[in-house]
Amino acid sequence: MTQTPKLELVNLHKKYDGGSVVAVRDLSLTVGAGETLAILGPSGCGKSTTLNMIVGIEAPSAGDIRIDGVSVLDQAAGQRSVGLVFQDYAIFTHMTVAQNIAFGLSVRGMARSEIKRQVGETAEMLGLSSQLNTRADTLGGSELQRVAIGRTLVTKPALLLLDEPLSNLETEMRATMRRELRRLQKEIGLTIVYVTHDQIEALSLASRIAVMSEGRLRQCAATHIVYEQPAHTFVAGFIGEPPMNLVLGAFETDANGARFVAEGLQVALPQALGPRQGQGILGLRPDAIRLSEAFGDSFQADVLLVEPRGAETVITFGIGGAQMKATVPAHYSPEVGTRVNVVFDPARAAFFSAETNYNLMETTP
Amino acid sequence: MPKKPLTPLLALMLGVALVLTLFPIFWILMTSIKPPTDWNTSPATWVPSDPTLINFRTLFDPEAIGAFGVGGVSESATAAVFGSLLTSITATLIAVCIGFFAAIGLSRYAKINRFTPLMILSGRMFPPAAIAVPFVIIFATVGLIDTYAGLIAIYVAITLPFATWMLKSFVDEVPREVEEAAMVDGRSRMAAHLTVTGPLIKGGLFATTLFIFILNWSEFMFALVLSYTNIETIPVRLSKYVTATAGTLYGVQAALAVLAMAPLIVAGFLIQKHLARGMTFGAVKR
Repeated sequence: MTQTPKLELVNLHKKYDGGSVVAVRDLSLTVGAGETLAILGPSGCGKSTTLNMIVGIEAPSAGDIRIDGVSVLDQAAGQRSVGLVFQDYAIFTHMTVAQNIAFGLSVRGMARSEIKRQVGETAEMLGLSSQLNTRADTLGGSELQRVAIGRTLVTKPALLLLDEPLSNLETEMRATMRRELRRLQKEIGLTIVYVTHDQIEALSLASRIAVMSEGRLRQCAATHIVYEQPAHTFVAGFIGEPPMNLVLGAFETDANGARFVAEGLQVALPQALGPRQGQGILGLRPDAIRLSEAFGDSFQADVLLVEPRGAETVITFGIGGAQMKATVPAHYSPEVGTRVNVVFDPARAAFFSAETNYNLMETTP
Repeated sequence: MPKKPLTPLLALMLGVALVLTLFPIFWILMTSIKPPTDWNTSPATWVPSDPTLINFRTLFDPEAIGAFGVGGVSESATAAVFGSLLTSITATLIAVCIGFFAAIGLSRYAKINRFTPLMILSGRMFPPAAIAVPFVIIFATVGLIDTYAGLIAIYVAITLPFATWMLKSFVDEVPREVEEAAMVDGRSRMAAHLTVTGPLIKGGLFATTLFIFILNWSEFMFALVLSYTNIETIPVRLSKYVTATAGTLYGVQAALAVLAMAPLIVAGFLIQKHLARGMTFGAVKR
């Protein structure tokens, strides 16, 4: 990348209470201009702390934050040209919609008429024109959210941070807002960092996903890479519904080549992994597995549970000592207790170290 | 919450409670409009047959009561009313102002130790009489005794813990994110507190102001021991309607008490409305 990245986090650390609580450990990532990056992780993984550090509400314990290549650590929250939409919106309930949206502009010493014009424009874009003089404490959830986004966008931030802004919305409104955000992002060319614990939201909005757990960045890659080749077993288990199947087994190498062996199952290792010995973990997406009753030279499994989910059916089966899940088309529904054939595409298998839980393949994009 | 039906027993208890609390008020209202002949009769005069406003006039025109053949009071109550208004209003505003910032400090920043808020309240754990004596000595030494400044200072000192604690509970209700949002939008910390936190706890500020005002307005002991001749407040004045010639001037005393009660009753009603409102703000999330 020759262009200076919009945002760079360099070895960011955040400790609380004199170091006894570490919220963020050694976090490094870059976000390109115009990119949408989703930070995904369970609650308490440090994703909101990371946003607060980027915007300037919290100071990092160590490391650097650069925007357009310049360190912003010595700049106060309001001076970084970073907008943040809070999870609970943090609307000023004692003001009207117009006053809320104008809040960030009035502090910049902008002329009253200009403020009015820009507030009007923003309100129109977000469908709030008719509610400009409504007091914010009478608004409903989706309106509050639009006011929060409007209040942030009107200041034309170079970088827009969103902290789970859709988590309070009903399903239908959520889809609409997701579409709106995508449109805004394209129209204004905004760089967006989006924090969420909802993987569907992350997968559908972002071009790249950063997955965090326990304050660490587990993987930051394009969405399809995060899905197909998770860098860590945590990512494999966190992304996907049902998540990736993980099977503990051993690597064996002999004259026929290298392979992964577990009870009732074996897979040839890709060339790139080379000859290997010792323990390992096989990762297989449920949608990479096909089940059939025609027995061939593949593996046999016993159907343990059949869960229809409308368009597809999730089948839990036992293979050797392990349990795995497969997502199959809804019309295929074997009886519980029957023996089925398991077929999968070896190219979609991922292999992890049993010691470090990290993917053995190079997974950086 | 569904209301329970009013059983005869409940009604009786309610009636007793109402009589106990409202009878003194009824009595003082009646006494304030009784002519001197009805003040202290046996059997008691419940409602005066010829009500008069002479007691109220006597408050500000000491000789007026002479028309009823009773020796006048020594001085008018004007100074006491002025003194009460000055000390109560000034001390209340100062305490609420300092308390607001102390509350924000305790709610948002203070990390001295977890007992800090308790220590602020600890001054209130002594009986007032116990701290009155040292205050008299200190104030006499520094020349603050018998001055409005001295009385205001001690009222602020006494009510500040209440103001701080009350306001802290309101500030605690305001989500931190709202202030952070103001800062992200370019406000300084102080500006964020003044433009966002303050207005959001408006109801709480109002309720606290009224509550502190009531405390100051009805304070008697400090006003008594810290005043000699220069300053006077209504509660102190109330204790002085005893004359050598006519005994206690019950009617005049009652008239001043009625005047003193009026702002408290108004404040009480306002506080009710605003406390109820104060409890429900800050509901950002639905």
